[in-house]
Amino acid sequence: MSRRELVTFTRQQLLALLAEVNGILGGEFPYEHSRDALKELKKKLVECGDQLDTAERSSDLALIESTCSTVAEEIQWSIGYVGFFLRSTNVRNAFEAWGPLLRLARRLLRLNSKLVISSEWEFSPFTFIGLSAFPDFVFIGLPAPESSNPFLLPIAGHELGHNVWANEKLADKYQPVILSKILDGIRSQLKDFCTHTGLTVSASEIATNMFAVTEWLPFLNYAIEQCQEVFCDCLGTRLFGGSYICAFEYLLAPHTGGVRAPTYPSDFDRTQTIIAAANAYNISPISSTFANMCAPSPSVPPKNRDELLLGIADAARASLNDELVREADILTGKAGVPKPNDDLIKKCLKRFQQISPAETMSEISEILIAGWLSVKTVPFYPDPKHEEQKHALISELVWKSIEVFEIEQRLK
Amino acid sequence: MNSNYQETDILGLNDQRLSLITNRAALEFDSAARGEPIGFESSKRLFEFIISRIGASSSDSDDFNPTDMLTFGLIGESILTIPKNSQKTTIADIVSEIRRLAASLASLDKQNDKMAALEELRNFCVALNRRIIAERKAIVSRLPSNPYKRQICPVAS
Repeated sequence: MSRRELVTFTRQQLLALLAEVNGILGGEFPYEHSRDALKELKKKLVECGDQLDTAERSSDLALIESTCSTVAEEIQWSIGYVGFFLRSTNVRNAFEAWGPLLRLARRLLRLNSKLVISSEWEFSPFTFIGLSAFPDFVFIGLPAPESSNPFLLPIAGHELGHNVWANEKLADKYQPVILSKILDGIRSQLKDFCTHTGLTVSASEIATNMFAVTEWLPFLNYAIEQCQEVFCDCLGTRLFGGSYICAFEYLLAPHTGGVRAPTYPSDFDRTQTIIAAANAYNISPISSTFANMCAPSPSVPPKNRDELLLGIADAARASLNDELVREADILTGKAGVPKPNDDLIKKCLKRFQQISPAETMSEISEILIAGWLSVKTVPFYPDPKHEEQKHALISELVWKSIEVFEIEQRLK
Repeated sequence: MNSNYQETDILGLNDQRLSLITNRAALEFDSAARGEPIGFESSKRLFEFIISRIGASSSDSDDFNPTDMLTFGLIGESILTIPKNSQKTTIADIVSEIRRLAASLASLDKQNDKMAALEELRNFCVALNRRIIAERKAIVSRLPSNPYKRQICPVAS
């Protein structure tokens, strides 16, 4: 491909995406934050066009190629965001939850935070992180077929956790201590490290030799990412109590194991840390089966470099679990978010038994905890007909209670 | 090069703007070398970020403390891809090289061969940009569909 063609093709791709964005911006939005996010994205894409114009005047082929790659990368990721913002307008989304979750985000992050709730055709809730280009935005996505399921709402606590992690610069805070633990771990298994990497380095050179550094660097990243996941689980537990645990169990079920991603702790480690967090926060897990739903992996000697270094990264992260449990509690407390109120949960349960929405709750979490408690209590309704329809009935009551909660908050 | 995406702190390796800023910096050096200067806003911001992440505020080559080894590693790997740097094997070597490049940017107008300095800085930014994009592609291979998407579980269990 000629240089001219390369720039032309990239520009055409960019213009096609911009045309799509303009088309969507002309549509209707249930709340302005989706439109605001799309406008921010548009600005960024226009700037990419300016970069292409500047590169086109250069005679340096490497620079032209690098600019086209940069713009192509932006287009690639931006397509996902455009779809996310577009789907946020779909009526399948839980618009009732937008107000309560926005207030929560504003307490945990900053007063001008904006929230977009959307869905994805994947069976896993998600958020987008690293988007410092959208510093004021929180994006929460739920699986499309579950986006009107109120029992999954507590998972928003985990996704908010990713934003708190970035906002508080916790990766920078924890990186030095994780690094130190990883270096200690490698030094204690130096012979295995040299065998599996083919390097001949001394204990002191582990931290100073660039070739040694490039071997363990990805595993430092894995350990930091794992810490982030643990923190988010703790924050979800602290915000939503046992309802977070039940929602997480619902998502994981049936747990069949499988290949593990190195950026996440094992599911067994996660369940155990979540239970430890619940105990530390004096919160009932509601579910009696969650703690035992995953089996620990058998301990076997590492067969290669990746297994050795992942084991060291896992150990470094595990040594910080207690600190991350505390961190989530401290930050949530500082934000002024109280633990779910047991008396209000009982009051809410009583209303649900009367087939009536609850009022005067202090946090959305009390409604969600009462929802899960109702579902988990067998029988909850004395009338078998009501018991038979319990899931749908409680689901409706949770949504109505959230609407009441939102009206009460607006009137305050 | 003006950009409203430079208003907040760069978060580090995972910051989405890092590839855009390195590219803008390369374009600024290239434009200056062509005699069509567009300023050095992105270049200065990029080097401020790099220097802060390697903890090398003074010119003393023994005084550095990388606060962000992930970003430092990425910068180091990109420096190693430049042929004349292939003999650099220690972190101290990499820090010295980064300091030299930062000093070169700070004293551009005083340099005898300004053109060579601009081209060297441009080539470093292009190498760093390529390394960042390559790293993101590696992240994509671990987290399919989008490196910025964080799911509650990596795959549906």
